[in-house]
Amino acid sequence: MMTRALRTTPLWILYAFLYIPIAVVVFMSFNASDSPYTWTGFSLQWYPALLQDADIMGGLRTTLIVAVGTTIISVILGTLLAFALERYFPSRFLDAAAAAPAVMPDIMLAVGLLAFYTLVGFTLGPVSVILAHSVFGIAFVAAVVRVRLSGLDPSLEEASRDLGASSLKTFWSVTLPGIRPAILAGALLAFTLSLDEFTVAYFTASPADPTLPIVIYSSVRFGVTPQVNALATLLLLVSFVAVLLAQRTARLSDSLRGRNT
Amino acid sequence: MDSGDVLLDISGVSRSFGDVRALDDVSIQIRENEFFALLGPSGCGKTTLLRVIAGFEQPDSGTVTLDGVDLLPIPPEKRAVNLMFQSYALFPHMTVERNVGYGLACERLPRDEISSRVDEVLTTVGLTDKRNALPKTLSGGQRQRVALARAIVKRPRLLLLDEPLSALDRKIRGEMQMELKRLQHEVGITFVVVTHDQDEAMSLADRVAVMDRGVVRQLDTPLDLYRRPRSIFVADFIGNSTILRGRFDQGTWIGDSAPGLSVPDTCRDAIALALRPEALTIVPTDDPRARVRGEIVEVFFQGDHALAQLRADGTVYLAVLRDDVLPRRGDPRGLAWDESAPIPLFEE
Ligand SMILES: Nc1ncnc2c1ncn2[C@@H]1O[C@H](COP(=O)(O)OP(=O)(O)OP(=O)(O)O)[C@@H](O)[C@H]1O
Ligand SMILES: [Mg+2]
Repeated sequence: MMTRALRTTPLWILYAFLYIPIAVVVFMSFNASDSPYTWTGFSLQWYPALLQDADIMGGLRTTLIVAVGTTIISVILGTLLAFALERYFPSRFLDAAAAAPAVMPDIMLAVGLLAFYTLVGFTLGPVSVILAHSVFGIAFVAAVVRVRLSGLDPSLEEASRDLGASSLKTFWSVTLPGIRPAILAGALLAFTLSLDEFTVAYFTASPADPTLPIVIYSSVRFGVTPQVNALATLLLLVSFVAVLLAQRTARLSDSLRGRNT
Repeated sequence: MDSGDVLLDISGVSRSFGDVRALDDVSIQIRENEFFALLGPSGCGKTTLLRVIAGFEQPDSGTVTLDGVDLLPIPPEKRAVNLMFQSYALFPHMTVERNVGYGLACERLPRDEISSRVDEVLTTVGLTDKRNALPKTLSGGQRQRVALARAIVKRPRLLLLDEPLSALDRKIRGEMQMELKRLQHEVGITFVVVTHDQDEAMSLADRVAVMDRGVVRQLDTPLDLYRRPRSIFVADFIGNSTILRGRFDQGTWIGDSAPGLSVPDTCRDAIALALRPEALTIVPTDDPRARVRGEIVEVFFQGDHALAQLRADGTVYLAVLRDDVLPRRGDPRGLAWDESAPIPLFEE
């Protein structure tokens, strides 16, 4: 018993280190005072105050537009890329090229993209951020979908064609349902990555139209405001739900895979 | 065979995977309404041949025609051929009913016709109570029956079955074998069935092709395969037999074992002789009919009959025992057989 407690202690310290700052943020978001460091009483006032804050609401709007746009582009192109790499052009070099944006330092990507946009005279705005985020979104979706695709039993598609289905019908009725969990997981991944991405967005967004992380960054430079705590709490809630959803889809995919198929 | 009733004509088909010659100059003609079996050890190219016929594998050379029409340029979905996969390949996200109805839905048949035909085949394979089940909830044998139902529901000209009954227990397997025969007669489907179970091939098929490492070693009716195997491989693969290697010399067989056996002239060009267990009679050592003498090595009781192994001159013979009194290990005995019993084998 004693040794067991000893063994789990480091784990608890780790959890404390991770979660105490978050707990403090959540706790302070219900603080009545507008000083972020002293607790004066319970209040929900900062939540409605968020809605009044034009900067934050503008940032939220831009971020959502960017995240949704990124997700759509990443899912479509990422899935196509996964198919190309898995089925049509298997090559180590292309693999590495496809995975690179996912592991490349953000700052490199950011500087490179900004230079590129300037070079071709592309106006910065939500679209430039969407394209930038899609660079790594596609890489993540492709990676997730590919794993699933390679695990798919090729005789399923053959059986479909054997039974008289065209290639298109086979894709819709057999291949797509087979990789759907991976596509959903990839979409969720692209969405959440885009949602809180800072570095690349900071370089590629127009100053007039910043994303939410940029808005938060600018406002906390002069000290943490209670609105930011409330906002962080809400974002926390969103990512928590996203993680739960991702786990559900993963479980669903396992159960669909079945025992023998 | 007159060519008028040939349905499928496979001619000179070869297919290699790297160094492996999975099919080596295979030529087989399959008649309309025939029950044809492909028999052979694992890895001999049975599945590859079915995949060529179904359209999932292009041969390196050779032709395949169905009803006289070249099949090779036609994509799998347009061929009037259905394949039941060795791995079943059931769609995991569809219920049994939708799996079975899939092929009919692809033909855009009306909904009620689809459901009545699905009902019919589910009854045939005994799975009506599983219609709403997902494949992963079924047992291996049930999945195999779903795969079979899905393949037969389309009533193709030619049905290719890859080890269709291997996962079933003995009793259900027997029932399904009868069911396949009934389908063949009633619906008029031509069957090509792959199996490595020789009893299944022998009891079901009108004709059997025995394959070995991509080559068709012999193509015959089950009876002829058993009575007149041409090669040591086939004699060994189909049924039990004792093989005596050696050569023919003026009416006698010269081998390492059993020196000086007298054999008929039909054995002139043989490289070996095969003796079927039921052609051998175990006799007392002093019996004048005994051609060889030795001692009993082992006795196998098989229910309706018993087999004995007898070692004589270094060769182990396998013989059916007819007496009620079984000999014991170590008993001296002789073996007798008719002059015409040895089957001449001309190839390895
Ligand atoms: N796609 C492939 N790539 C490489 N080699 C293959 C491929 N398909 C089959 N082979 C090889 O061809 C040979 C014949 O395979 P095949 O699947 O036709 O055997 P089989 O007679 O069906 O065996 P089993 O009874 O085990 O199913 C084997 O040696 C196999 O390894
Ligand atoms: Mg096989």
